[in-house]
Amino acid sequence: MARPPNKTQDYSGAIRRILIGILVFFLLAIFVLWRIDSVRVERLRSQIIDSVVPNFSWASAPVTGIMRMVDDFQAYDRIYNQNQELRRELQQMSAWKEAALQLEQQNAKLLDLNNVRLAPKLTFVTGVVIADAGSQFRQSVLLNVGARDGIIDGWAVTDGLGLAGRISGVGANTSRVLLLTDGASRMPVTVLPSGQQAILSGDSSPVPTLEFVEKPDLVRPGDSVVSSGDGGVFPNGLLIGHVVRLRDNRLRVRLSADYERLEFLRVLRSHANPVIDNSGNMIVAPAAETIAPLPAETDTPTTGGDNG
Amino acid sequence: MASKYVNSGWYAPLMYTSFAFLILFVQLLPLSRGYAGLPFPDLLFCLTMAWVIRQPENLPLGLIVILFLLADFLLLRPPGLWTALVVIAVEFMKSRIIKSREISWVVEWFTTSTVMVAAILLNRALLTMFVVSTPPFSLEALLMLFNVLVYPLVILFVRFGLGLERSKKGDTSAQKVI
Repeated sequence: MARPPNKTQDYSGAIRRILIGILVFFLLAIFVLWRIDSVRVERLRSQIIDSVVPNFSWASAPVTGIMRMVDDFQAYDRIYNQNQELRRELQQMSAWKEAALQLEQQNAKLLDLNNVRLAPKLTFVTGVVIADAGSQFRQSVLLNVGARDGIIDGWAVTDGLGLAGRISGVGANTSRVLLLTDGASRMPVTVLPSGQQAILSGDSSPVPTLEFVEKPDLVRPGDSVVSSGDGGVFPNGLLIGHVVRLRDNRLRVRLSADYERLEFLRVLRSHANPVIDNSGNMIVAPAAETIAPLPAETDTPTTGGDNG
Repeated sequence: MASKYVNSGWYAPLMYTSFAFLILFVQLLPLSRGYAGLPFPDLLFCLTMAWVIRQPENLPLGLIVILFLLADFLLLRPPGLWTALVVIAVEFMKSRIIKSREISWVVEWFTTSTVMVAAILLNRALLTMFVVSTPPFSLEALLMLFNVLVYPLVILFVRFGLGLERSKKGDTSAQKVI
């Protein structure tokens, strides 16, 4: 270093400052791009996650296993009380089971009598949770099933007990489940038995809030909350949880899904519901040719051209 | 220039990268309870600050940018914004360090805490400006608190675990003990 240190520092310092300015500008440009074209950048994000996170799984599986064992071990001191409680519940359950069986048979008979056609049975893909959001500000988990397994954005995810969330972001081998507790989660629901429509909105607490209830006085704590299927994304009638009213006096939902242990999750393949997108046509006396084009209208334009 | 750091040229970035991946790995472990518990301190940020204060010449800015951008994508943060703030914070720290080489750890703790709190507040302000949904403020306040509390531990780790000491200006050997 023959040059005097002050001079080089000034010279390289100026260039360095310019380069850092360009770098910061570039990074902010990425942020702005994300804000403008969220879809494309989110797709890039799921590709990055898809290629990075599954590499962790060989190491995360044993660590997670050990942590769960520690959890289980801590549960041993509560085991006597739990056992007593379970015995009591079991007695109640067997009574309920008997009632449920009878009702099921009765229901089947009634449906048969009424000639009701039920929705095609939902099939599901089961995935293993391989990672979570990594920060306390987002509530989501990563499943090891993705586009390869036919997963599509928006499908419902349950853990067998109740609805856990929906798919938001699909990579080739992984997909992200946005949990109902996430601050960005909004879900149209129906409160039974009153049949009130509402929106279940997550707020990062374990009990998401129930908003936009038409008549809140008809909703009582203990009512069950199911998905309503409004918006055509979700199958309806999936159990979500039960209404509770906490100290802040807002209607909230205690979720049925066991969020403490999200290990295996089912992604329900919901097939696109037929959408009724036109309002009813005017009913007029049928002319001879108006009947024929009607089925063709819903078809592809090529068949439509034949009629015109 | 490069011959100066021949013995530490690859060692420090490699260590930094492996610790960054370890932190990301721990954060991504599927142990979440599905709702916001206590926030996890931003260890990667603390580690970067402590490292930059000690041996800025050992940590290329490009590596910091790449790792933080990766973290932005993996941890579902708005990509780029937090990285940009970290770059600004790191450069600010570097300029401070050049001016004052001998600072006690209390002063370092105070300065870094101020920078971290300012970065988080600026992040929140910018997100609000761009109408991005922000987490509840109570959670972010807790995050700031935890970052500040965990920082002395990070200093201890960096000094005694990794053996990084503050290098004097014009001093070429990175492992110099003060």
